Amino acid sequence: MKYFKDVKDFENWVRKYPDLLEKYNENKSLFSVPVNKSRIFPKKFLQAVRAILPLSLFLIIILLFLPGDNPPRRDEISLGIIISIIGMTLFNIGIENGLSNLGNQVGITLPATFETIEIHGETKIIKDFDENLIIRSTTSDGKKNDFFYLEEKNGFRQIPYKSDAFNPVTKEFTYTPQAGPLGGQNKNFGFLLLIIFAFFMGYSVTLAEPALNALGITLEEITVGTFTRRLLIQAVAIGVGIGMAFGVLRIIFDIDLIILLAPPYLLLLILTFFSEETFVNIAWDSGGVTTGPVTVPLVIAMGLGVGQQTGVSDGFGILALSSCYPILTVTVLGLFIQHRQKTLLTESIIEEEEIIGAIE
Amino acid sequence: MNSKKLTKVTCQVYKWISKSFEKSLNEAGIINYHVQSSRNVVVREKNIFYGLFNKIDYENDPSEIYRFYIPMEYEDNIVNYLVEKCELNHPGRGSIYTEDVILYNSDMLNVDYEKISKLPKNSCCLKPEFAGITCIIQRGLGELITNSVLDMGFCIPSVTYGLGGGFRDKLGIIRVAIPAEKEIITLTVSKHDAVNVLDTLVNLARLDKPGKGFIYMFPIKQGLINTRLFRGSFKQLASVEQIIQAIDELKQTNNWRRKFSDTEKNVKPEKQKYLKEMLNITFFSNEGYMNKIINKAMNAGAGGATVYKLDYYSYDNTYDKLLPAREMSDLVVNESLKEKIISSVLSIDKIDDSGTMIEISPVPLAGTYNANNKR
Repeated sequence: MKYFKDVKDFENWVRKYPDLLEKYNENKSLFSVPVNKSRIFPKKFLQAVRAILPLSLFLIIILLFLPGDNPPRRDEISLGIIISIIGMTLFNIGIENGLSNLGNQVGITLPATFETIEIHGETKIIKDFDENLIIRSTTSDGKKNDFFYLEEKNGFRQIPYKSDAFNPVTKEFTYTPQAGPLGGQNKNFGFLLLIIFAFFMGYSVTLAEPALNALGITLEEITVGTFTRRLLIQAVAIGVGIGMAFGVLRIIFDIDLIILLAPPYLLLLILTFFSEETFVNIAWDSGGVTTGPVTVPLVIAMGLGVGQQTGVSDGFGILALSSCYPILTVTVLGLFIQHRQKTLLTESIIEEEEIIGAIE
Repeated sequence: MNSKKLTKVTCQVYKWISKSFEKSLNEAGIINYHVQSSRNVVVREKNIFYGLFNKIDYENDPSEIYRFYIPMEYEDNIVNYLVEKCELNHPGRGSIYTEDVILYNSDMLNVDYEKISKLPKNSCCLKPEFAGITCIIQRGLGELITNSVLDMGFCIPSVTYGLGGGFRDKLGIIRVAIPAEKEIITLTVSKHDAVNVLDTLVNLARLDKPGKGFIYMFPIKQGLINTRLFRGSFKQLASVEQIIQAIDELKQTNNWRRKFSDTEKNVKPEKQKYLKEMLNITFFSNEGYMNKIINKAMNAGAGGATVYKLDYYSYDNTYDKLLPAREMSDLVVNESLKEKIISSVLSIDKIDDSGTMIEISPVPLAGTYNANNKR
């Protein structure tokens, strides 16, 4: 089997074979490029070094010019930089081989919630196919459908017959199994399932996002544990879930992005005016950290997969909505906390008046 | 560096009244002070499903700790003014207490004598019946102590965050495996109960075991504490805090509400061994300078230190040597090491430029693993 360095290497090779190139250009997702995995580690290691080392050197140089004992604890800093390079290497390898692949698979099969789709990874070739096996059926409207029976381990399965899937020269019939819709003939039920799935996917990927965790730790430190990391992450996760649900809705019904994006941002501007500075700053910052290395591959794969099946020109826009709604949820949380503090202050004033009355 | 005997005032107020408190500080003639973020833990009754179910939970409230130094002769005037202006004598507002300390380099701090002289002269409303307890443990383990303190009704615990230094720094690179983050819990309890509270907390958090933490008691000259431990629905005509305050006013003391009897001490001797004749040396400096100070102190014999981040405010905007970002470090050491540590720290090059101040206060009792092993 021939291995390639990466997808680009494969594309350069496939240009030599026009028939294969035509099939590849028609549907790239059908092709699983066999990449030489032994080259992944050096490649990712170099990427990590290029990301971390220049930044670290820049900061160290700045510190050296500043007065004082800089940088402090050099052994700790050096160890930290080495560990972060190794960690980033392993993280990138894991994301590429694990989550991205998973995201792609989910993106391909997710439309099965509301439509019948073909599962291309399980394509079978039936050899020595006999056309006499084809049976014709008719619907009550007079529509004619051809099918045949395929014997499998579990019994017989009815397979729809398509003439373009049959090669009369080689007598091979190429069969791609189909799946869905999950909700039966009721497409709306399928859409609802998809939206619920999108919400939970947005919620769960946010919990795994390392940048958000780092923001949460900093916030907890500054507020001395009053605003816990868990509270911030939950608020942001719910916002991302809502954003992703709206994003999927946009793709299914081909709604213009501005219709879904403008109202929440307008509402945010109004709420920002009434909120306390601390909460406003945290809320707008959390919108920026939601879309990180864990969220992006999964969300894009899902968006593209759903978009392809619904015939929408592109499956983008989910990330924009996923960044907008967490700002809203954290701002609302901040307003709730503000209101609570005002209530407590009012309670103490009322009690003070009662005490004065009692003592008099 | 000259030293002076001053009164240190520590005031902890909830964040939602901190603005009015800062205004009162200015009116009372306090020009500069340090502020530290903290949180108070109280018990709260939650009504679920419109009161169908009730749940008792612990709630964290953001608060600010203000620290400033005043001449001893003006203590009553200033403290009374602050208490009346911010209604600190009413439950749910905050606590205030004073300590007698020695402060080095106190010239950096100013008060407005003109404003102070105009303050009304009343007898002090603070009571001399309190003692302070500070417990330093690993971050994340504070909940055990704060919840237990509230369950036993001692006081409202105040929690701050800091970084531990000292022993960890001596371990070399292996120190990365030991978290430096600390949680510092400060309690203001009745003087009569202080030793028993100390015993209870040492047993609760196993502070007599190695690496578990450090606890010490510090004397409070006089104070007024927030009695509102519980927040919930009032099913009676008067709340418990109102009754407590009324009885305190009638009896002119809070001795009546002590939780441990004096006779218990005679029957059961102190369960724990404590370090005695200790001092708390607190260093204040501009941010980034504290590491040098701690290293010098450690070389002079100090066992460990806890570093806190502070903000420094000056109403007259004189940030000459004291910058807005400051650090504070507490070292509890034996009295015999005091001169050595101070002279070692004062020998640091350009120490005055870093806005360094040194505060010395007594520590009657301190408890840690070492205390129990020194028999």
